[in-house]
Amino acid sequence: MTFIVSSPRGRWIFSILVTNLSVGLVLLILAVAGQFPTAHVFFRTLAYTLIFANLTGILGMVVIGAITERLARRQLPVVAVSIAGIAFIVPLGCLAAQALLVLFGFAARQNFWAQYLQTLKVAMPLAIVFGLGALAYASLRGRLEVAELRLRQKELAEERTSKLAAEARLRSLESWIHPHFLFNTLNSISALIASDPARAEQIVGRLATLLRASLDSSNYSLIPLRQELAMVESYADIERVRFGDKLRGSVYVPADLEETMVPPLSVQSLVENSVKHGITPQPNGGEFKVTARANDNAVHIEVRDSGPGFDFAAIPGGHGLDKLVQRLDALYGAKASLSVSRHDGYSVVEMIVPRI
Amino acid sequence: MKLRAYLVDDEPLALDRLRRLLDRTDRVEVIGATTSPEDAVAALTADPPDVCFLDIQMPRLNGFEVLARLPTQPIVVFTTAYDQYALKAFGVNSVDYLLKPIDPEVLDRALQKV
Repeated sequence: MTFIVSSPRGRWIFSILVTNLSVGLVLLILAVAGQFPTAHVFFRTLAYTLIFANLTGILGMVVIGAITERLARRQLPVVAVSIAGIAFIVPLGCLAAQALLVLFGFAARQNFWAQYLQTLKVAMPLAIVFGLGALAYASLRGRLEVAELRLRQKELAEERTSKLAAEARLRSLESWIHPHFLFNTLNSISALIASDPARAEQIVGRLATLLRASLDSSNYSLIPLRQELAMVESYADIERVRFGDKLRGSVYVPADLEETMVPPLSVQSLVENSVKHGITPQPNGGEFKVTARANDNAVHIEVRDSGPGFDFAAIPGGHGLDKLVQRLDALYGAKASLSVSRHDGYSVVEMIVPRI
Repeated sequence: MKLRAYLVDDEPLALDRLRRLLDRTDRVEVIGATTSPEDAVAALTADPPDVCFLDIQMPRLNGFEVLARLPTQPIVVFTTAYDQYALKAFGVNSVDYLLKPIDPEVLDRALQKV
């Protein structure tokens, strides 16, 4: 029956067929039980009941069905409301059917109430059976629709979450690999292909390392300092191609601190800040130094450069250092910090992270 | 007769590549090149070229600031790594806007415009 009840029209045909067959079946049972003294009474009752059932039963079922769906969504006492509906619709429907029969001359006016009560006696159990059937069907259908709706909403929410994650990854890539940096590097590679192919190949490798790290940065919240320093080397190598002798740098980290866990591209962003804002704007360039030391519970990582220095409070929102502060706060809370100072002619940015 | 061109870019490699691409066209004579925007202001004032290939994002003075310091505006072809300045570039005396790495065919079209 699935193919019939799957469309609204099919449901109507299905309801009418079931109603009429059920009426016949119930009356047959009553006949076998000896409720009809003659065949004439049986056929008259059958005619009345079919007219009644098709007039009120199906309409009642549809009305109850429609109401039940709405009630199910609003979580009201569906059974109580449906029984009250049947109790109201059946006597009223019988009255209307009897009135029609009298009006069109199928029944005698003087037997109106006696026939009405007889019809009601048959109609009420029928209506209860159909009503409860309709109620169960509609209730199941309503629940199925609600479940489908929830599933669709869940799917939409998951789809949205997945889309946001993809966007965040792209934003992450864009925020760590700035378009200027990327295209300038590609330009450097283009220049090197003709003059120094081996170096061009090496820079492609360095760029790939940085791109990979940028994409991975959204997957890992922490990486070993050893890996992070490899990013710094790759970044510095690429910038050295662009700026030549203007850019000098060194990294000194004790071997026992190389496994310290740090946020990905954290030290790299400090070095990038030094290169972009401290060193390359100077006519003669300058140098950066990366060092690390540990005390009992924390590791201090310093990036210093020979540039003029900057005011940490003046950094705009969305800047690399501002984002790093936010990341440190989210990862470690008060256990981590980022500070800027000036020592011996160097601008110093110090990142303190818990020793993990 | 070849076009007299002056090249400005803060990256030596970028200058080398642009010079090589221009030499290959055989339509341009590079009369000078610099990585310093201050030197560019002096050179362009002293000997205005037919066309200036000018990088936009440079330390201390960007391409627009270089142009603002010149007594007469040369014909300019901007070169940049990223197109965030495109609209501003067409507001000044520029004939084209080349994105790095520069495509030789795009460079050829820019020279035709010049």
